[in-house]
Formats: sequence, C-alpha cells, structure tokens
Amino acid sequence: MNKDKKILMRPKYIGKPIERFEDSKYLSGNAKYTSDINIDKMLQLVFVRSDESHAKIKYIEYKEALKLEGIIDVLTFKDFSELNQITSPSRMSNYFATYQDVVAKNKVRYVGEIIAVIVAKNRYVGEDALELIEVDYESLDPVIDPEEAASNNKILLHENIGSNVILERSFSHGTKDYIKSKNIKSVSGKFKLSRKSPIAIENRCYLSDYDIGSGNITLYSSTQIPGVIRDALSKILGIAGNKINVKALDVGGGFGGKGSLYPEEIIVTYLSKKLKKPIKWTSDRLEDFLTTSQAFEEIIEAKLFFDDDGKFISLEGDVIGNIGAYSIFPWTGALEPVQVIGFLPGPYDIKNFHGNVKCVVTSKSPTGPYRGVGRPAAVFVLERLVDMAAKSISMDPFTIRMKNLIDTKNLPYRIGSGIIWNDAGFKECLEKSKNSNFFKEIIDIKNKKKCNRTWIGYGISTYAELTGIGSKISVAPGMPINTGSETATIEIDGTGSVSGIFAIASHGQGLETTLAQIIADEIGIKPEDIKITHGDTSKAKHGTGTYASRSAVIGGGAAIKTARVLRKKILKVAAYLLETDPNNIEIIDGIISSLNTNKSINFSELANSVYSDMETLPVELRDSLYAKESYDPIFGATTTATHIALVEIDKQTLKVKVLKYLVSEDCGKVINPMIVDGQVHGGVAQGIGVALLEKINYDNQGQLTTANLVDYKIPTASEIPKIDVVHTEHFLPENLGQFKGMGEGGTIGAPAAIANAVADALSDYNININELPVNQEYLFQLLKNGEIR
Amino acid sequence: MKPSKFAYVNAKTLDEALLSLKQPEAKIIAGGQSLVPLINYRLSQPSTLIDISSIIELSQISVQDHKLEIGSLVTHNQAITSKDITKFLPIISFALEHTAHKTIRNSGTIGGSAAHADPSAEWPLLIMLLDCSINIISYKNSRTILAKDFFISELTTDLKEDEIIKSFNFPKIKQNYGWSFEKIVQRSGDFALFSAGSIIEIDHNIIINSKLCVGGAGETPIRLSNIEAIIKGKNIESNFDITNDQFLSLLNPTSDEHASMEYRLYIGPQVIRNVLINSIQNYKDNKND
Repeated sequence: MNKDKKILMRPKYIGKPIERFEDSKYLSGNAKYTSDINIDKMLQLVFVRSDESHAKIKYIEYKEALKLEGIIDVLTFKDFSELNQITSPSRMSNYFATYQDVVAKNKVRYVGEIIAVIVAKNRYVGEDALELIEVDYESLDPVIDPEEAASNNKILLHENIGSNVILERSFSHGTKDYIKSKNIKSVSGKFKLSRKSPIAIENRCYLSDYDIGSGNITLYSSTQIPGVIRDALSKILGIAGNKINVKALDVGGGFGGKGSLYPEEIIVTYLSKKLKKPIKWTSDRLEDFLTTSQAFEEIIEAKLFFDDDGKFISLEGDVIGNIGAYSIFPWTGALEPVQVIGFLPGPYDIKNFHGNVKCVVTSKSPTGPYRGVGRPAAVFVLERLVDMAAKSISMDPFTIRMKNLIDTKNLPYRIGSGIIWNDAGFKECLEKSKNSNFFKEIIDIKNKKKCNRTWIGYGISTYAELTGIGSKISVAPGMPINTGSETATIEIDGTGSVSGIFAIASHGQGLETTLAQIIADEIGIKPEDIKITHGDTSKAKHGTGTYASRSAVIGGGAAIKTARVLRKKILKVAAYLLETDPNNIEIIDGIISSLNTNKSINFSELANSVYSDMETLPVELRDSLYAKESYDPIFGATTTATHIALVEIDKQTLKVKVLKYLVSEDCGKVINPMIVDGQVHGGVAQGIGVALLEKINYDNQGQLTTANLVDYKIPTASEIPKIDVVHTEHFLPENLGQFKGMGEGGTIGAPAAIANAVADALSDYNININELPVNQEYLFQLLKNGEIR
Repeated sequence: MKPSKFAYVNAKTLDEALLSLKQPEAKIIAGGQSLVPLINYRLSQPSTLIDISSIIELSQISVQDHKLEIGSLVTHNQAITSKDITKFLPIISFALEHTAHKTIRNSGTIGGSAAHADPSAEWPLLIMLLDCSINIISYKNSRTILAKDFFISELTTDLKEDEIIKSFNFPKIKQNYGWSFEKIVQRSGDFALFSAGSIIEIDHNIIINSKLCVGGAGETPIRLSNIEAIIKGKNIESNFDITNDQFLSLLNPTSDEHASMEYRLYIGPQVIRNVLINSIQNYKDNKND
C-alpha cells in the first residue's frame, strides 16, 4: 500500500466534536463526588462560625453541647495549637502577608470564620450541639468600606500590619507629556464591580481517611488543586508527602472557588490523624456563601486619553481591591486586584500607561480566584472607556477598536503593565465578528424592533488574556510556587490498554475526553480506548491542578511529549515483531501495521509479547511500555476574543434581557469544538450573571445579606440567549500542540459587552454604565436621578 | 442546615392527620417547598411532621354549580394542567406558570402556599383576587373563612395550630369577563417584585364588577377596592383617569434584597394599569372568538 495514502487514512481526533466520555456518569447521576463516600466509623464535623464580622472572642461555652449523645468532642483553638497559621507569602515588595489561625484564637475577622469544631457522629446531632454553644464576643468596629479602610488606620483588621492595605503597587510606562498636548481628549469614570460568589453546584466537601496500619492519610477533596493541597498539608501537618494522598474525585464545578487551601481541609485532615478516624465535612449552601472564596469587588478610577482620530495615547488607572479578611493561600489576596491593573491596557497599542493598585483587607469573607481573575473587571472598565471615547468623537465602535488593536505583525508586544502578548488574532476576531451573519442579523433586529416599549442596543468587547502560563511568569504575582509545568504519564498494561495519568484535576471541563483525543492522535489509537486518570497525588507525583486556563495547554503539551516517547517504544518493539524498520510502521486505531508487508498486530499482542510471552522478544526489548514527561511552555499563550451582545431593556420594568450573543475567539488549535463551545457558553452564562444579576451584599455591620440562592441570583437557562461561537486558529508555533486556554474567556468578555450594549440602548440619555450588575434597581436609580428619560 | 429532630407521621386519612396534629408543635407537611428550607435553617423546629400527601381526598378538583373546589393538596402543576381550571378560571393556570420552576411546581401545593402566606407568591394573590373561601378542619370542628380574613400578615394566617386546610372554594364568575396577570421579576421563576391580577366583568361594554389584587406590595396580597370602585359602571372605552396616587394609596411595599420600596412604588401603577387594560383587551379578544 502506498505510504501517503495510508497516512491519509489515519483518523485525526483533534478537531472533532467527540461526545464527552464522562457525560454518561454525570448525566445519569452516577458520578462519584467526595460526599458520596462514606467510610465505616466516619465522624462528621460541624463548625461553630463567627456571627460577628469583627470582634474579640471573650469565651466559648460548650459544656451543654458535650452532654449530647453523639457528640464526640468540641474543640477550640487550643486543640490546634501545634498547627501553623495559614499565610500566603509573596515576593512582591510592599506586600504584607496575613496570618490566619485555622481555628480563630482570640479575634474573628469575618462572619463565618471558624471559632470551634464539633466532632459528631452525624451532621444532625452536630447541628443540635451547635444550638447549645454560646460565644461571647466583644464587638469591634467592622471594616467594610475599602476606600475608608485604606485611608483610615484607626480601625485595623490585622494590627501587626499597621494598615489595612496589604499591598500597594504602581506601574508606569511612557510619559505624561500628553497632558500638555492641545489635541488630547479624554474619557474617564469611576467603575465598580460587585462582589460575587463562584457558586459551584457541588458545595465544598472534604473527607480524610487515616489508615492506622500504615499511618497514611487519604484526603478526598472537592478541590481544583490536589497537588498544591498535598504540598501545603505536608508542611502544615509535618507529614511526608508520600504519606498524604489527595484525591479529587468527580468535582461538581469549581470556577476558582475550589482553587485555594481552606481551613476546613486542614482541620479534617489533622483530626483524622489525631483521632485515628475517618473525618468528613460537607459544606451546606449557607457555609458555601459565607466561606468559599468570593470574587471581584473593585473600585476602579480610570481615564483614557486619545486624539481627534481616536488613536489611544494613554491610559491611567487606579484600582482599590477589597480582598476580604485574609490573603488566601497560595494566590494571595493581591491576585485579583493586581491582575485588574495588569490587564487594564488590554489588546490595544497604548504607548503610555500609569496604574496604581491597593489591596485592602476588610471584615468580609476572603476573596480568591474566580473564572477570569482580574480580567472581567479590567475588560469591563477599558471597553466602557473605549465606547465612551468612540461616542465622544462620533466614531463607530468597530472602527475605534480596529484603529487601536495591536497588529499581528507587531507581536510580541509588551503592554504598559509589562504583559507580553504573542501570536493572537486580535483584529481577525473583531473583523470576523463584524462580517458575520450574526452581526447583520442584530443590526436588522435593532432597526426593526425599535418600538416604544423597549430600548435596544448592542455592545462589543475585545480582550486578550494570558493562558497556559509557563514557569517564566507567575500565575499570581510574586507567588513562590511554580505552576508552569505539568506531568503526564502514559502506560500500556498487560492487556494492551492505554492509561494516561495527569496531575491536573478535571471538574467538568471535559479534560478526560480532550486529553484522550490528544493521546489518540499521537499514538494512533481510539480516544475511547484510553483511560484518563487525574486528580490523584499518589498517581501523579508532581503537578498543581486545574485553574488559570492551563490544563489543555500544559497538560495537553505534556500528553503530546509523553505520547511521543511511548510511541517510539511501541515502534521499536513492533519493528522487531513485524520484521521491519520503525519508520515503516503505521498505527491506526490500535492496529500496528507494517507498511511494506501485510503484517499487523494489535496492542494486546504487543503487550503480551512485552510483558507475558517470554519467548518472542529478546530481553533488551522487554522494556515496560511506559513514559513520563513533563512540559513547561515557559511563557504564556495569548487568547483573544470579541464578544457582541444584543440587549433589550423594557422601558416599564427596566429589566435588561440579552437577546443574542456572539463570541468570535482565537484559542489556537481547537481540540474538541463541542467542548470549546460548551466552555464558551458556560463562561458567557456566568458573565451574564456578573453583568445583570449576581451581587454578594454585606450590610454595614459586615453581615452577609445574600446567603441563599433566592437572594443571590445566578442566571437560569431562561436568562441565557442562544450563543454563537466563531473560531479563529492563530497558532503559537513554539507551543506543543498549539493549544491556548479558553475556559475563562466567556466570563471575561461578557460583562463588558453587556454593559456596552446597555449603554448603547440608552445612548440617547446622558448616562454612564459604570457599575455591575445592571439590574432593575440600578437602572431605576439612574432614572430617579433624572438620567434616563 | 439540617433540621432538628422530629417525629414523622405518614397520615393515610384526614382523621389520622387531625389526631396527630393535637400533639404540641406538630406541623403539617405536603409538598415541602416552603417548610423544608425553614426546618433546615431551624427557623421552624416542629416536634412532629405530619405528611398529608397520601390523603387522596385532598387532591381533588371538583366543579360544582357555583364554584370550583380545589383540594389543598393540588399541586401547582396539577392546577396548570387541569381542564376544569383552565376552562372556568384560566387566570389560575396562567399565573401559576410564573411560579418557580417545573420541579417545584410538581411538588408545591395550593394549601402549602396559602398556609405559608408569602405576599409575593401566586397562589395567595389568586386566592385573594378570586374571592376564594377556605374550608378548614380541625379534630373538633370545621369552618369556612374568607381569603381576606385568612391572610393576616407576611407568613401569618388565621390557621390555628390544630387546623388543616381542606380545600378552597373558587366562585365561578357568571358574567362575561376579561382577565390579566402580570408579574415583575429580576429572574424567571423568582418571587414577584410586584405582581397584579385582575378580573373585569363586563356587560354591554360597561364594567359591572371588577377584582383587582396586587402582590409584593405589602404584608399580604392587597385587593385594590378603591380602584375597583372607581372603574365600576364605566364604559370600557372610557379613560379611567386614575392617578398614580390613587393606585398607590392602599399599597405598603418595603425594601429588601431584591428591590427597593421606591422601585415597587414606581413599577406598581404601571403594572396595575397594564392588567386593567389587558383584562379589557382579553374580554374583547374572547368576544370576537
């Protein structure tokens, strides 16, 4: 058979919309979450949590609780004195770490902080005990308003820091000479992005099983970062890493909320070792709202300078981030606010940039990573300013963007904050969106639907993000943990079946399928025949987990690198068996064939000759069919997209409805278009939540007033329109596989596009959409102040 | 969020349920859509939960000469799909489509919703709007109470601890009429920020009677008797000349996480005006059919 012809026949799985292998278990209710595991003699924890946002603990009275049948013990900070405090170091100058006792010692700093631990036979009796425990507080003034907390040192949350500002950082690039220029114009605003909760369907859950015989601990954790947790627990508990196995089984969504270390995780593990019992804690929704890391809450003052032609001259920004009570591990509380200022210049050619960021601690729940980290806020602010600039000089929103987007030929390009953009189709994505049928349709709808019942408008947002970040760049600024590499192990067992083992941890992204597609193409087998294992630190010894749009890029790169090594081993053995040269062998869907004879073998025969049959192969060829490689892309891959939203605002109710939505994106090589589209859809849905509905609210005493899914509104299917996705594949040649991360993009672009659409719909009025979410109440306040109508 | 300890009785008959209800702190559970969150938050700590969902006689819908009698166990979905309800009081089916989501509508019951008495919910508004009377039974006696006397304040009704709601009498409307229901929400399926329903009975283009009720505007659903009086006797083509102040005079909304009092006062007159206009339009549409 002709060699070229045969290669042509080899199926390619990358690029195919293969149905997700993991869906059958998810959709049939057969997924196995941490909470589904129950172990004999298992005890449950119930936490006594602070009712006050800022107070000294005077005493805790729990004698009555101990009397209840089924209560094993009630523990306070004294019982955890041997544990180190949680602290998140950083190499950033002017950064002050916070120190959190796993169980609060004498002061609480947010409602929900752990004061005592009830060890109970079950959760019911544990909650009975909770009612009998009295905590006497000496209330301190809450620290709520970040602007006030930043300037006022009278009320300190962390006395040892001497200020409520844990980090202040400035960026400056270029000059400020433009201020003197005659032709300079500017637009500015004070923008706010409300605090939000990640809201995974599965609440956090931890189960630690201590094996008395071996002294080994298995922590089942609903975490995104099993590797980071294993390393942290090893340090905090003083146990060797090989004695702790962190297993993230099926995890029901993360969105960043399961991407940090939590006190509950430490307590569960510590107590299982101390009590020599399996210990479990399952968060309920109330605890999830109170304690799972929250997102955003920034105040951003920004100003964009441009000339008469709409060419951007300079950008100035001042960010105050309200990070909550503690700086979260391992990312630090600076993660979000610093990235807001870092990503503020966006994908535009802006020669001058001057930015400042302050991270302020307040007596609210700690904030942490959330889908898009920093970029939803940065893009919201910049894209609003871009539209405001366009409006002020009567320029079309496409034209002003096209004029200022970085041209591909100028890449790599270092923006004013220092981020370097590499191969990405900024202008291509924008052009594709404008030339799409979708855009024609929305202009059509906009013109046709003009009526006296609604205002209608469309909005664009264009952004760039850094994904699949290698070791040269910290995912979190100044973080001393390397997150730039991942490992893949691929092995063939005695039956000839192939397993891929990864340290990344899928929590619904479809990585089990996409990684199988990658390995399938490299080796020449069917994706459905590959078993992907992830989220188990005993199986993958090094690797951090899944966050920051890294798993397909770095995990996928590791898969390619490893598969290539394994393929060489396969070919070497097969060449001997098929009596040919390795170069004369092709592997198609698990059949290994000689190209110049009609001989072929399957993987079972291959494995049999290597592992079992001691006659066919000479000893030196019986090397195990195993490979393990790690991959580090060194830098990051730039992903970009343009979003267009069409919205309608009811003139009576002031309710905003998203009618249509388009995402024109470049995530490099698309591994599975169905999964990519699904990730885009989910991201946009969360972005619609940010734009229109979701708002975590604390009152002026630091009490959370939106602690359930009635008061805290996440969008339902009814609020999500049909979302069209257009792909551009702009490759990064140095990256193995040419993949770029895309899981966060939907959430990054949507708030800005919708805000711009709302502003467009209300363009006849002198208003500024500078706060999200835009709900009825928000528009009503604008209306009341005479800004609409 | 686990309930405190309670005994559970799966009552097979009304008598058994009523007998069990004599125990102190006992509580009836039907669909559990309001009670279960309350007991999980331990805001309610009943000693005994008496599950009445097996009592078949409470889940009937019967058409009688002058009324529709709806058993207290009738679920929202049962009401939506009932041919009798859709025929005689289509506003019920229409309004209930706005109640939460299908899974909740499959479990939630009219009796549970009425007993919970959320002033933003659909059933309480419909019960008040449609001049419903409520058949209540206890171990000792039974009584019938008018909706306006039943709803006392937010989450509070006239129902005594030993009583069970047996059924609801919805009077049939004799005249030709038009109806309308409108609900303002932030998100589909939410409790109303403001809602209104109306029934306008019309004879030869003259409004001879009307019912107008709003939700989310005070401690209970509120019948706007002042507006009902203003429009009575008017020609449907005439301009009603109702001022915003007249629309608002009986309303007493408050601010909460979902909307401010001011927003409710802003949206209120518009929604009420809409349901009046739409009811008349509905009458005209039906007449032309």
